[in-house]
Amino acid sequence: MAAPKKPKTQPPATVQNFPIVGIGASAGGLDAFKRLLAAIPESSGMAYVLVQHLDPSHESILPEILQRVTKIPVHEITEDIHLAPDHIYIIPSNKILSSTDGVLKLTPRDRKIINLSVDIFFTSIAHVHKEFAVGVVLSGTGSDGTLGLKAIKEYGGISIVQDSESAAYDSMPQSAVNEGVVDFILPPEEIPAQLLQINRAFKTSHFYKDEAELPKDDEAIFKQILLLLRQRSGVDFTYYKQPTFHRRIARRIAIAKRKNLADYLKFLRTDKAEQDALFQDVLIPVTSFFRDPKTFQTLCDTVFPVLFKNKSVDQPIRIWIAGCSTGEEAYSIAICLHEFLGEKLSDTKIQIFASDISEKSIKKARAGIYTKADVGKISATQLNNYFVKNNAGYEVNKLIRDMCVFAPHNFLKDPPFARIDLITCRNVLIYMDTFLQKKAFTNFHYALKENGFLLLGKSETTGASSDLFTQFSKQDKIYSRKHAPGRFMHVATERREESLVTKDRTKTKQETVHTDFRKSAEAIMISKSPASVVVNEQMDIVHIHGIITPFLESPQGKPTHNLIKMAREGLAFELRNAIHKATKEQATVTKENIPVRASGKQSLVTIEIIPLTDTVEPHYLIRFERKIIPVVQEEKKSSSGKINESKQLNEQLERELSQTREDMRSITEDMEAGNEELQSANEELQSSNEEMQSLNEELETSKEELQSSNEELLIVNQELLDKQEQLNASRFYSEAIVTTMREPLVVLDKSLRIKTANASFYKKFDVEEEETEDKLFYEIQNHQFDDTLLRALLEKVLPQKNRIEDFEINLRLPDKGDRVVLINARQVVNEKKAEQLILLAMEDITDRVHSEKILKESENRFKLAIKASGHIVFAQDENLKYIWIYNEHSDFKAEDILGKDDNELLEPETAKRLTTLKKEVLQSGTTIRSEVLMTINSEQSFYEIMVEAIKNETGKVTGITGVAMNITEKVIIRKQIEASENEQKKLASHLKLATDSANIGIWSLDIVSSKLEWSNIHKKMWGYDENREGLTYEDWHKVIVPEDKELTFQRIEESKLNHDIYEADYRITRANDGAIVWIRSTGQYYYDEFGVALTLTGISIDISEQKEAERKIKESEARSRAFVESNVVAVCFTHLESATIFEANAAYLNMLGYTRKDLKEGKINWLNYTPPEHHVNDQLAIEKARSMKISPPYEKEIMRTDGKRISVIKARAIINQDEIMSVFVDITERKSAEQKLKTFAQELEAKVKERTAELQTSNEELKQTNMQLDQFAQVASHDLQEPLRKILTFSLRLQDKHKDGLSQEIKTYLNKIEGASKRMATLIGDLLNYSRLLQHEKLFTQTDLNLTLKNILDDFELLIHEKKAEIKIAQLPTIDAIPLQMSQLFYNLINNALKFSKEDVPPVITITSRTLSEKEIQKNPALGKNVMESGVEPPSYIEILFNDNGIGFEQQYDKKIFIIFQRLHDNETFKGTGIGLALCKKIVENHNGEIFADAKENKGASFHIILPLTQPR
Amino acid sequence: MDKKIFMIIDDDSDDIMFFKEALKEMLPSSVCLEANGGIEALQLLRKSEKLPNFIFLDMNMPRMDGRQCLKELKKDAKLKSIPVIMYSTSFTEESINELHKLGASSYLNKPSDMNKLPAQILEAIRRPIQLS
Repeated sequence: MAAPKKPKTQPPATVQNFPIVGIGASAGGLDAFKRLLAAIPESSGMAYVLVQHLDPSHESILPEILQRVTKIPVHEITEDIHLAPDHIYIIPSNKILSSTDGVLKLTPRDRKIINLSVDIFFTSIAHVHKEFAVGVVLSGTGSDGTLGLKAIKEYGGISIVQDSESAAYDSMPQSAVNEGVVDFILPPEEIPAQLLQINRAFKTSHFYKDEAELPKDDEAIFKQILLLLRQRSGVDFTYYKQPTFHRRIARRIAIAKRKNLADYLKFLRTDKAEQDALFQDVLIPVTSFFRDPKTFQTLCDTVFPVLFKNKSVDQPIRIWIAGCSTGEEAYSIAICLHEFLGEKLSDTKIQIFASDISEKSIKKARAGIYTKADVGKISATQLNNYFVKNNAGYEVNKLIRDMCVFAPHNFLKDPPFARIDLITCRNVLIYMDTFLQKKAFTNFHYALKENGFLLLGKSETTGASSDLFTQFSKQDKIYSRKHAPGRFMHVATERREESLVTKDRTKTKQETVHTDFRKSAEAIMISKSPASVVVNEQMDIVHIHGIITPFLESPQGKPTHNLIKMAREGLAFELRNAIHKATKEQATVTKENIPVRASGKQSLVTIEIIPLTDTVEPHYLIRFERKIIPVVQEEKKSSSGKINESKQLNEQLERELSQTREDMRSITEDMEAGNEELQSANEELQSSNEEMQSLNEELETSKEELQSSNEELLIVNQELLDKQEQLNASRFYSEAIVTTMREPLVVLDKSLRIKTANASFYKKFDVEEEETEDKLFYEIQNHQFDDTLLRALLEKVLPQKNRIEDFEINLRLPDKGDRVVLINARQVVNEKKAEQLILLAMEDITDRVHSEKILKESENRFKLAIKASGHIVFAQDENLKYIWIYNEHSDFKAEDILGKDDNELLEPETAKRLTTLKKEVLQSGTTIRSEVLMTINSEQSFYEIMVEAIKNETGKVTGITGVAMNITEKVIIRKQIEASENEQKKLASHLKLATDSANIGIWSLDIVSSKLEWSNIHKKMWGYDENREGLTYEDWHKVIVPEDKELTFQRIEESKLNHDIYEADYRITRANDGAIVWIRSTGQYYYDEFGVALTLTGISIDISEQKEAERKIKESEARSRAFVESNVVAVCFTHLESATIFEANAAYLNMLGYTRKDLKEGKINWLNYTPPEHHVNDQLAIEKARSMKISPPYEKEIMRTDGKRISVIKARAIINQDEIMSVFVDITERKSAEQKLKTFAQELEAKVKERTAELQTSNEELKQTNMQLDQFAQVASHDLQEPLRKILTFSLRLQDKHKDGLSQEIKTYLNKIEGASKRMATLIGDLLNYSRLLQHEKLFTQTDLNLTLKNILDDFELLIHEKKAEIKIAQLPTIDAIPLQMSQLFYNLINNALKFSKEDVPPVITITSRTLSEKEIQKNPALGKNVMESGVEPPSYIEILFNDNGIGFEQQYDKKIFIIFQRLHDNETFKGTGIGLALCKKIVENHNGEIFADAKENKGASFHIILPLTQPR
Repeated sequence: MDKKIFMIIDDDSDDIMFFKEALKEMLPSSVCLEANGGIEALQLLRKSEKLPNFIFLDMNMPRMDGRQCLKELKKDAKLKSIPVIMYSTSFTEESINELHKLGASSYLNKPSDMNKLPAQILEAIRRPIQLS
C-alpha cells in the first residue's frame, strides 16, 4: 500500500483527462464509504480520493477496512502522489489533503482552527481539474463540503451528495443541498453508476479535446442553444468565451443524460427548467466575501486615498460593482470603505451600485442574508460590527446595506451608470471573448469619471483596450482611466438583437458572419478600387486602403479620424448624405461627379458607400474614384469675348456658389456640433435614467422591507402591550402584598432616606406619610433607629451588596411601650434605573420574645417537677437517639446518654426489650405502658415505662418521649398476691369446665343490690351477649313469659322464707332470638349470721328439649286415640303371646262381626278368624314387625263370624314386646271390580286385533288399486296421448293441405275432430297432473311464493294482455312447499279467474295474503290436525286470497266445485275438464292446508288458501 | 358445404315421418337416417362411416328405451361426441337433469300439434340443457 516513490523534485503537471472523484464524509461515514466503494466497478476510468474527518490521535485503519469491500487498489496517501485512474486514495489522519496540478499534497493539520478538510480538498481539485472534478459529500454532521462543492461547480465539475434517507447524519449533504450547489442526490450505492454515466458523456464529448473549431453542425446547434437562452433569459452569450461555454453545455449534457448536443438541444427546447439550469450554470454565481484579501488591502492603501483626495466635500463617492453576483463583493467593498473612513463616514455620501444580469442573484444580494459558511472568511470583529445574527443566518446590518444599491443590469447591453469613481468587475470578463471585453471596457471607460479606477479579476487585463486604461497597481489589476477619446457604444440594443434574430434565421444563406469587419471589407476592397476606407457608425475611419489623400486630409488642430471632418472641401456634405442614405436603405449608394478641389486641382469624385452587412457592427466601406478635369480645356475656350463674358458670369456664379457652400458648411458644422452635444446629453440621460431605475427598484424593495418591518413593529408593540399588562398585573399583585403585609416595610434610597413605606409601617410607628418622606431613616421616631451598629450595617448594604439578616433592636414606642424589632435589609435591584434602593423589612417580635421567656420559665418549673418525682424522663428522636433526659439513672450521666441509643448504653437483652417497645410506639404512634425487667450493672430491677409518640403538626411521628419508674418493690409484692390468686383460679376453672360441659348456667343474685352475676353459659341461655356486664335481677326476670312470672317469684319468696332449696321450671323468651326456652333453675340462699339473706346462688338448665319431648308424647297419644276411634279403618291390639285381641275399635268389630262384649271377655283370637292357609304369612309378618317395628301392608283374607271371607290389606306395628297393633282395610269390593275390568279389556283387545287385520287387508288392496291407477294414469298420459296427437296432427294437416278441396261439411267435422282431440289432450294432461299429485313424495323446500306467482304471470302475459286484465298482487310470504305444486295451484286459480270473467268487464284479480291469528286457527279444526298428532308445536298459518270480479257461482256449489270432474258450465260456454280445482284442493291438502271458496253469482269469486308456514320434517 | 345428417330413433313410424318432414322443411338439403328403436340405431351407427350430426332420440320405446340407448351411445368412443336431442311428450325437471347427466345435449317436448315440430327442433338445438 506504499505510495510509489517519487523524486523530491516537483512532479510535472500532467494532463488529467479523467475525472477525479473527491469523496468526503465525517467520522461516522464509514458505512456510506463502504456502500459507495462496493458499487464501483473495477475499471471505471476514474480516480477516487476519500477525505474523512478522522481522529487525529489514532492511526487510521481505513484502507484495510475499505480494501475488503472493493477490488480496486486502495492507497493511503503518504506523500505527494500522482493520481491515476482506477485507484482509491485515502487521506491519512491528522493531515490535510490538497491537490496541485494532479499531485496530491499533504500538509499537517492545524489543530487550532476547525479544519474543513473536505472543503479544502474539493476547492483544490476544482481549481486544478476544473470540469473533471467531481465532489461527493456523504453522511456527516456540520457543513463541511458545501463550499468545496460550490467551488467544483464553479469550475464546471459535478457535485453529488448522499440522500438524507440513507445518510446516518444528513446535515453535511443537506447543507450543500440548501446552498443549491448539488447536481445529484443519491444513495451511496447508486453514485458510481451516475459517475460512470457522466464519465461516458465526458469521453464521448469532444468539447474537452481543446479543439478550437467545432464541426459545422455543432456550431449550428450552439447557435440554437444561444438563441433559446436569449429568449428565455434575455442574455446573449454569443460572445462569451466559446470553450468555457461549450464546457458548461457539456456538463449539462452529462447531467441531463443526453446522448449528444443535438439530443440535448431537443431536450432543452421542451424543458424550461433545464433552460434555467443551463442559464444558472453558465453564469455560475460564485463569489465570496473579501475574495483575494490582498486586493482589498491595496484598495484601502492606494485607491481610496486617491479617490478621497480628489473629491470635494459635497461630492459623493460612486462605486459600481459590475457582475456583483449574490452581493458579497459589494458588501465587502462597503465594509472596506467603512473601515477606511471610520469616523469620517458621516461626511461622505457613498453610493455603491451593484449590478448583475441574474435576477436570482440580485434577489439574494438584496436580502443580504448569508450562511455561516458564507461569512467564514470574515473576521470576528467585522462579523460583529457589520452583521446581525438571526434565525436565517447572518444578515448584513443596516449601515452597510444602506450603502449599496442592487439592480439587475447587463453592463454590455443596458446603458451604463455614469460618473463612477471606481468600477470593480472581477472574474466576469474571463467568460467573454475579446470583442465583448472591448465593449465592456468602452462602457466602463464611459462610466468612469476622469481618474476613475477599474478593478479587475486576477486573470483579467485591459489588454484589448489598453488605450483606455493604464495600469495603476501591477499586482492587483487596478487600472485608472486614461483621458482618451473612447466612445460609449450601444453594442447590443434591442433593435440589434432583433436584427440578430433575423440573421440567425437566414443563417443558412450566409456562409459566415464575421465578427471583424476587416475580413468583409477586404473582400470587397481587393476586388474594387484601391482607394477606400471603412468607417463605423460614428463615421470614424477604422480602416484605410490605398491612397486616400485626394479625398481626405487631416484637419488642423486636434487629430481626428472622423470621416466628415477629414473630407476634402465639397465632399463632406455629399458623404454625410450618402452614408445616411446607405444606412437607411442598407444598400449600396453611389454618388457621381462631385466636384472636389484638392491641392488646387479641381476634380470630379465618385463615391460609393457599401454597407458591410455581414458584420455584427455596422460598418461602411467607402470607395473613392477621381476624374481630374483638365484646366487646359477650360482655358482654351476663353478666347472669344463671349467666352469672356460668360467666364465672368461663371466666376461670379462660382463665387456665389462657393459662398453658399461655405455657409452650408458652417451650418453643417454647427449642426454636427449640436448633434454631438445632443447625443452625449442623451447618453447621460440614459445613464441617469438607468440609475433612477435602479434606485427606484431599490426604493421599492426598501418599501417592502419597511412594510414588513412595520408589521414586525406592530407585532412587537402588541407584545409590549401584553408585557406591560402583565407587568401591571404583577405590580398590583406585589403592591397588594406589600400593603397588606403585617410587617412594616421601608424602602430607603442611597443616602438612607425613606422613599416609601407600607401602611403597616406607618401604623406601627405611628407616623404620617408626610412626616417620613425624604427623612433620614434614623431621624424618625426620635432617632429610635439611630443605632450605631444598625447604621454601620445599613451603610454597608449598598456598596458591599451586603444583607442585614435578623438584626434585633429594642425600641420604645410612645404608645406601645418597649418593643423588640427584627430588621432585615437587602438591596433592591432595579435594572432600568441606576437607582440603588434598600428594602428594609421589620418584624415586631416583642410578643415572641415575651412568650419565649414564659416558655423558658415553665420549662424550668417542669424540670424541677421532674426532678422531684425521681422518675427518669427522656425523649428520643426517630432513630431512637436520646435527645434529652432528666433524672438519669445513677449509673449514667446525661452527657453520656445524649445522642446515643439504648443499644449503646444497656445490656443487649434489656436494650432489645426497650427498643422493641419504642419502635412499636414509633410505628403505631400509640402510647404504650409496660413493665420492663432491666439489668443495669448486673442488678435486676423492674421499671414501669410509659412511652408516648411525639408527633409534629402533620401527625407524623418524629420521636418518642417516656417516663421510667422503678417499681421493683411493688412488683415483688404483687407477684406474691398473684401466686395465691392463681390457686383459687385453678379451682374455679375446674368448676367452670364441669358446668360448661353440662351446659349448666351458674348465677348468683346479690339480694341487697339485686346485682346478678352470671356465668357465660347462663348469659347464652338467656340470649345475652357473653361480654355483657352489669346484669341485674331485672334482666333475669323480664324475659320470663308473663304466665310464669308469678310462679317464679312466688318460689323465690317461699324458699327464702322456708330456708329450703329454690326450684322452678319456667319459660323465658330468649333475648336474642325470641325463642321460648324452658328453664329449670335451682338455687340456695346464703344468710349472714343474723339470718338475713345475702345472696341467692344457683344453677339454670335448659330443659326445653325435655319439655318438648313430653309435649310430643302427649300429642301423639291424642292423635293415635283419635285415629283409632275414628273407625275409618279397623284397628286392633293383639297380645302376642296369647294371640288374643285386647283392644279394638268399632270398625274392627263390625268388620268381623264381633261385639264389644266378646272383646272384653277376651274371646277374639286372630288365629280363629284367619284361614289356616294365611297363618304362615301372618307369622312371617309378625317376625318382620318384631325386628323392624312395623310390617309392610299385605293382602290377606279373613273370615267373618258369619263365615263369609273378606279380603283385607293388613299392616302391623309393634307397640312393645308383647303387644302389636294391626290395621285392616276391607278391599273385597275393589277386588271384584278389578276382575270385571280385566275381562272387559281382554275382550276389547281381541276385537281390535281382528279389526286391524281387516284394515290391513283392505289397505293392501287399496294400495294395489292405487298403483294400478297410477299405472293407468301413466298409460293414459303416454299411450292415450300418442294416438290423440296423431288424430290432431292429421286433422290439422287435412285442413292445411286441402284447405280448398274440402267441402264446408268436412271442414266442420274436421274442426270438431280437432276440438275434441284438443279437449281430450287437455283432459289427459290434467289427469296426469292429478295422478302425479297422488303419488308424489313430499319434498318441501322454502318457496318464495312471490317468485312462483311471478313465473306464472309470465306464462299468462299474452292472455292478460288480450283480456286487458288487471292483477293486483300484495307481498306474499316464503313458506315450506313443493314449488311445482304451488305453481300448479296458482296457475289453476289464475287461469280460472281469467277464464270465468264477465264478457264485457276486464278481469281484475287481487291476490293478497295475511297471517292467521291463533283464534282463527283454533276455530278451524281441520288445520294443524296432522301436525298436532305428530306432537310438534302447531305452525303459523297464512291465508292467500284470490279475488276476482268474474261470473262467480252460487254459494251452494262451494263444495262441489272442488270435486273432480264436477263442472258448473257446459263445454260450449266455458271449456274445461273439471279437474283444475280438484287439483288445487289436492295440492293444498298435500300441504296440510285448506282451500275454500265463497262467491255469489255474478259478483266474483274468492278462493281462500290456508297454508302452514312450516311443514313437519 | 357438407350436407347435415340427422338420425331419428323412434319406434313410431308416424313420428319418424313427422320429424323427417320437419327437418326437410328446415334444411331441405339435409339427410335423415332413421332407426326403429335403440338396438337398430346402435347397430346402424356402429357400422356406418358417415356419422350423423345430430341424433333425435325418443324416450319411450319398447325393449331399449331412450335412456338406455343414450347410455350406450355415450359409452361408445366413436359415437359419444354426437349431440343427442331427447324427445318425449312430457319431461319432468328430474328427468331433464338426469338426461343431462347422461350426456344428452338437449331435449324437446313433442307438441300435441306436430305441425309445430320445426319450431321445437330449432329451439332444442339452440338451447342446450342447463342444470337447474
